[in-house]
Amino acid sequence: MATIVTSYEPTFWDKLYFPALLRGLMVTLRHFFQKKVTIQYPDAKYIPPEGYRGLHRLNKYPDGRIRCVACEMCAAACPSGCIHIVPGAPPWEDGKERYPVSFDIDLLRCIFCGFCEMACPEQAIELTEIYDFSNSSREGLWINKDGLLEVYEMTKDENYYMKKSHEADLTSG
Amino acid sequence: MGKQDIKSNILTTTVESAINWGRKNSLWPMPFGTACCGIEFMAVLASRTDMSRFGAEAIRFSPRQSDLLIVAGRISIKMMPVLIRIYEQMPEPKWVISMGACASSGGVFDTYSVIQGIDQFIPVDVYVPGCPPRPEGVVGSLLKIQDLVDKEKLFDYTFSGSK
Repeated sequence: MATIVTSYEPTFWDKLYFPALLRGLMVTLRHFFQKKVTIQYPDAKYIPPEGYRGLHRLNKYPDGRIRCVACEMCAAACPSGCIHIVPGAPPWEDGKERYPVSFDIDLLRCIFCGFCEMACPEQAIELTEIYDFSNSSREGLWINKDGLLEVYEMTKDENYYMKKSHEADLTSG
Repeated sequence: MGKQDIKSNILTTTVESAINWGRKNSLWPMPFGTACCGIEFMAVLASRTDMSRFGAEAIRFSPRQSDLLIVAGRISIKMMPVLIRIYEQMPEPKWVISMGACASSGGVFDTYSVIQGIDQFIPVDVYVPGCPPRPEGVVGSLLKIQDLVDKEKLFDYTFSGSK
């Protein structure tokens, strides 16, 4: 059976158009006094939740030794192949055989999936909450071991965006 | 009066800074969204991170009306001639943002058919890492582009269009 669709017949009130216009303006006016949704980005930063996957860091033990043992599990787990590790003998006596002589991450190739921190047996590599690090050169987005340890120093105590002085130590130029 | 004299003239430097001020606060982006970064670029224009706060909300889908190319998404080898053509159709001066891992370096798509970084073919001014980047990252790159526009010199352009 076919469905009979009756088209809407505008009433006299509808044909005036003015009440509908006023109703629309009332919606605008109501939003005028509501809480604003825009985050004034360079001045106010969005604070990402716990577990956000942003810029990487290399964790250290409290005595300053790097946790990484250069097992290259993260490089094996990485789907885009952006982690480049050169292993070597550690400079300190801690019973571990391997140590990353160089630990580079190509941030432009990284897709921030977090597989590296899941694969890491030593909880050495971790993704932090830093999300705004664009750069005008390709070399500026190739982060080495010193850079990763610097990110650890910036984010180890508290959320990076909670800190008041974080504009000063932004690594991206 | 030679070209150098004009450059050091206080009147033309003021005109230059006025033009740069106008340019940097009214960038007209041309989005080249081929993948998920193009979807994230819509969030950059939405009210949460409003790009019109920096005067860049006039999205033009014609390259001839725009001066900022935002390449968002992976570019295959068959798409690259199209992108080069769009870049060449844009009038000088023009700037390019490479948004996301795929456009900047190919990302996970390390295959024969995907361009491993669009900077092999067209000049890129600012790279935004991420898969996709947060809208704040794109706004941060727009601020970097604005700094670049501020440093622009009025007489660095020839009629052939090269810098």
